[in-house]
Amino acid sequence: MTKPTPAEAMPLVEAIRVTRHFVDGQVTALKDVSLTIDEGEYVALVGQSGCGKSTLLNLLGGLDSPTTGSIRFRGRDLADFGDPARFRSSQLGFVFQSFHLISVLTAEQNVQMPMFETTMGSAARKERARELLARVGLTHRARHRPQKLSVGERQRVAIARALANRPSLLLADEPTGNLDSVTAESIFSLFDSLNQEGMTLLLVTHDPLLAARARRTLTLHDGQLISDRPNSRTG
Amino acid sequence: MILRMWFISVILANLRGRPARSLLTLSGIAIAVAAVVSLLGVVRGFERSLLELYQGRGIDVMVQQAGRLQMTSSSLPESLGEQIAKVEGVAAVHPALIEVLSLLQDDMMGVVVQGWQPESTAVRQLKLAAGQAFTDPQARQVIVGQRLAAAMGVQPGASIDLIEGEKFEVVGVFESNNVFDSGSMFIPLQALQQLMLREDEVTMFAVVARERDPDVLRALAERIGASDSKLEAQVADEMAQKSTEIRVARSFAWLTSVIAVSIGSVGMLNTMMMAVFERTREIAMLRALGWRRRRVIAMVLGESTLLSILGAVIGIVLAFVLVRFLASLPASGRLVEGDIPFQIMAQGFVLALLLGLIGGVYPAWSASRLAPVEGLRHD
Ligand SMILES: Nc1ncnc2c1ncn2[C@@H]1O[C@H](COP(=O)(O)OP(=O)(O)OP(=O)(O)O)[C@@H](O)[C@H]1O
Ligand SMILES: [Mg+2]
Repeated sequence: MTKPTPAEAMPLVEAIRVTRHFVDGQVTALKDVSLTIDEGEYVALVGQSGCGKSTLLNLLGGLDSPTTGSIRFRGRDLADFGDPARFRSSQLGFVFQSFHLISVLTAEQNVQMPMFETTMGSAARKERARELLARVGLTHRARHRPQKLSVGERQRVAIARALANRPSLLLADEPTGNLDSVTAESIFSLFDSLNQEGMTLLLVTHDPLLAARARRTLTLHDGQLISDRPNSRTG
Repeated sequence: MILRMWFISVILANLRGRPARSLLTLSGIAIAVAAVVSLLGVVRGFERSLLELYQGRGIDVMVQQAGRLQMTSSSLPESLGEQIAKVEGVAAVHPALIEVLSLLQDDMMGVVVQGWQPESTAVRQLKLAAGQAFTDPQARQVIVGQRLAAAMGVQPGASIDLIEGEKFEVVGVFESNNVFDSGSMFIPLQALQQLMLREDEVTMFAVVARERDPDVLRALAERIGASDSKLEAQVADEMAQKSTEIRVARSFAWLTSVIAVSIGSVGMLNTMMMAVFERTREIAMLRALGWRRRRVIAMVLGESTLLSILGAVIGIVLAFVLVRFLASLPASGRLVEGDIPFQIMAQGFVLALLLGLIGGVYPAWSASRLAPVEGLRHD
């Protein structure tokens, strides 16, 4: 830390030679992965099942720590955060591979959960939740509990929840994995417009259509980053 | 301030989402609180009645046989009264013989029979609801307290057997707010002495002092005690607290309370542990979304506290109903006052809060330690 880098030049998130072992080193989920994602990028992360995509997403989001190497967010090492909860609530949006909605809460209440860590009042929270549900096309489902919703609808509630605190980085694990093509298309265009508004997106996907919408594709294979290339824009 | 109003909606939703378990825990807490509040309430009622028993009567110092723990086992010669009257500061001395009889009629067990001289303050201050006073110092007559009269179904003019074949006439019924009094009967001292074959024997002397100051009374009690080795004197106001019966009842009530509290907190601990265990993923997910540890703690503690507050309210209402019911029964009504002092209810409430906190702290703490990465694990 000799000279502070200007913010514009600083990447949003960086993985530096990250390795992650599980089960006392018997499983190597990630091997020496380095990557940089700048503010405003739209990145797809692809690879076979078990290649380490979710593991990488967890590490970038501060939910897990690398065995060796480091993760930096705006230049700051995540290991320096005692409990990175505040960082997550203010900077990150997560869409989990299995959405993890709270079954006893309504869609609207689920969307509000991350807002509890902000100073928003109850009216503001409710309004924001409604707004987000409208954005994912679920206005009419606001008062339903997850069991009453279709899988695709749950997925969309989970996306709305991830957007609750206007994150600067959205990390999504298979966000369209459970959607039919029409609904998936509406989610794709939601991601497009979020990116146009300046949000940085990193999406894990098996869906070639979604991967093609991103500007850049990272490919993992057996825990190693084997390719990192910009997408050719086909328009 | 982590527990803001909005949080209640999440907590309520969590409790309502698992109705069976919430209700079970709620009833556990309610029963524990009801047991403690009603027991302590009854004991406190006892104490208060015992205290009023002396206070209402202008009796300042009670003199009993030295070394007797129980009032009814005390026995003194009546003649000692003259000696006590000579002690400096004594205005009047009233001898009394207190017996506890079991009447065959209506199976009345443990009826307190108070033998006093008809001209004593204790008798003259009786508020007659019906009938009249004693006609002479040896009359085979009784004046019965209202609760006892109701339990036995007697009125002035009735005749009762105090001991089989020994008939006494009910001449009056008196009212008293005091359960002890109201559940007992008065009889002329000499008549009771003859009946019990305890002529010239008394249980105690009630002393009226010239001055009512607590320090003066304490000094007077000491002087009386010192005047004869057979005597033990106590300021009447302090008697209730020192009585063996009250002490036994009190420790019994506390023991029961401790058991109730232990069971209650283990129940709460179990419930909250289950609640956390079941929701491992959910809680980890909330951490992943950015909830701080203390918010997770607040949520779990909030749930256990809300359960205990609701449990306390239900428990206190239950205790209230129970004590009212006991007071209305002829068998227990002689002993139980219908009201629970506010202080005891407050204690019950605090106790329930403690149950909620004790039962919630460990589960809340372990919930807050869950690794957020669990929330992302895909099944
Ligand atoms: N906590 C863990 N303990 C042990 N092994 C783990 C753990 N988490 C992940 N792994 C292993 O690490 C490897 C990478 O897992 P990861 O979940 O990152 O794969 P993925 O690319 O997300 O797969 P999928 O597309 O099926 O979701 C797998 O072999 C997995 O079994
Ligand atoms: Mg995965």
